[in-house]
Amino acid sequence: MLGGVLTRLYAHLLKLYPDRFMDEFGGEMADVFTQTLTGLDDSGSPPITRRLKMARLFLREVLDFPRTYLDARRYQVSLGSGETPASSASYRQGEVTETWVGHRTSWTAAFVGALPFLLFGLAYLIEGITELGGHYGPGFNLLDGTLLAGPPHRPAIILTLPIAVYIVCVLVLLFGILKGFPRWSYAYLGMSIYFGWYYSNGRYYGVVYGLWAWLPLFAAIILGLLLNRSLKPLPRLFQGTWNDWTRLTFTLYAFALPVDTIVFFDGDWGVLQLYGLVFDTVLLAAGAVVFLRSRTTWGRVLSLLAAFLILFLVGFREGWMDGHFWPMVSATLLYMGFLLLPGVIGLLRGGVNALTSR
Amino acid sequence: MFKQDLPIDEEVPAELTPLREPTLFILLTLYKERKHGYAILKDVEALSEGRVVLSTGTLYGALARLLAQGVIRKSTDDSASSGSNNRSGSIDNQKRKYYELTQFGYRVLAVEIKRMRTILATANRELGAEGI
Repeated sequence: MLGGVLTRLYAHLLKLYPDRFMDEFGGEMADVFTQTLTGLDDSGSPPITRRLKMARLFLREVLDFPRTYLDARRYQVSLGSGETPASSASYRQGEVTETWVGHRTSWTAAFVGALPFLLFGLAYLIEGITELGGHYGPGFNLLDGTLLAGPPHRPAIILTLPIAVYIVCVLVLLFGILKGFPRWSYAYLGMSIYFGWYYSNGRYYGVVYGLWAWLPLFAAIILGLLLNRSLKPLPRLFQGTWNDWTRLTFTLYAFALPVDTIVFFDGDWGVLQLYGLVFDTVLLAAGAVVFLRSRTTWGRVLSLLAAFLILFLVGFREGWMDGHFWPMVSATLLYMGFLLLPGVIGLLRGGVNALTSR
Repeated sequence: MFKQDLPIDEEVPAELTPLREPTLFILLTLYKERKHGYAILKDVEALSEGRVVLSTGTLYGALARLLAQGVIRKSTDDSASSGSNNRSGSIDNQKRKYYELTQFGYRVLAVEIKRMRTILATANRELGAEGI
């Protein structure tokens, strides 16, 4: 049973390798891993020892992954543009019509695409719980480590958790760049842009980040280009948006939860807000999953719009209760229009296609 | 262990040596015959007396690098498609991939062994009969 679980986990680990490396070696690697597990199963050791050995085997694969990934990356680069296995998905021409249209994202990729929403919600939920409990400790300046003057201060976790989410987002975005900007990676792009904007504007618990707030995002992009030894990821990003404009909508959709927290939860925590944040987080993550699992353009757009509409109808409870009815309706419509704006790209593309097909 | 007439070509690029220990053992296991991935994995462990235990990822990362460098090449065994019984159920139903040293690979291995022998000879000379 453990062997089966580890084999499945290993299959997921393999998906993280560069596509062309996977095309070349993925099948063999899965076979060798299974054979090694089978060898342990047949070793005649006591069950507990066998299980421990199996777990250690898998752990070794996980720990070796970063170094192996670099080897795999170098191998892929060494192939150049001459060899392109049929199932390769990275940075090659002609892949566009093959994967943009009618492609259903796997459940794993859909979960990865929903993860930034869950992480963001979790970080702010912890902030809310901490603030509600009045569990304040000494605050500190993240840049120079000095304690902030004047009690009480928010605990360090409030300061560091959203930053940790930002860092996770840019790291996964980097991975997305290396994988050729798959659909799920656009949520990470949106979330990273939000964090860059948020931290670069104003003072955050005594710390002024300024333009430095954009550093992680730009570092990830530059590192992605360096690891690819090519500028191709950038045209690929625009190519993705051109061929499937809903990707840009997905990027803009990533702002929804942060906007939600700013408008509804900003520094004003109560039990209702905590439940509300859980609901909003799950709702927007579910919208992302439905978006990623949808095959058609309209299915994708409607999944995001529906989630956002429900968020405004249910989520902005305080706004409705305070009698801000019309401002809330205006804000809802404005943001929905904002989400639909990339549709202009779809119209443009349709026009260009009509002209060029004559 | 090695044939005395093993060709040593001065054209082996300097950046290929010294070899990392896992890479050296991989090449050593391929010295006599071509092998598939699992056999290499087990033979490296046996040859190094359990000191070098490769993960599948490390093995294939190294194989990919050696393929790209032209040190090894890949071949397929057409006759392995039937007959054998494997619990994983997959590899025996397809053509098994084998790895073997190229002529260049033999040269790289020979250069590395020569380098190590030189170091060993120097150490023996310096330490004399007393050893460590």
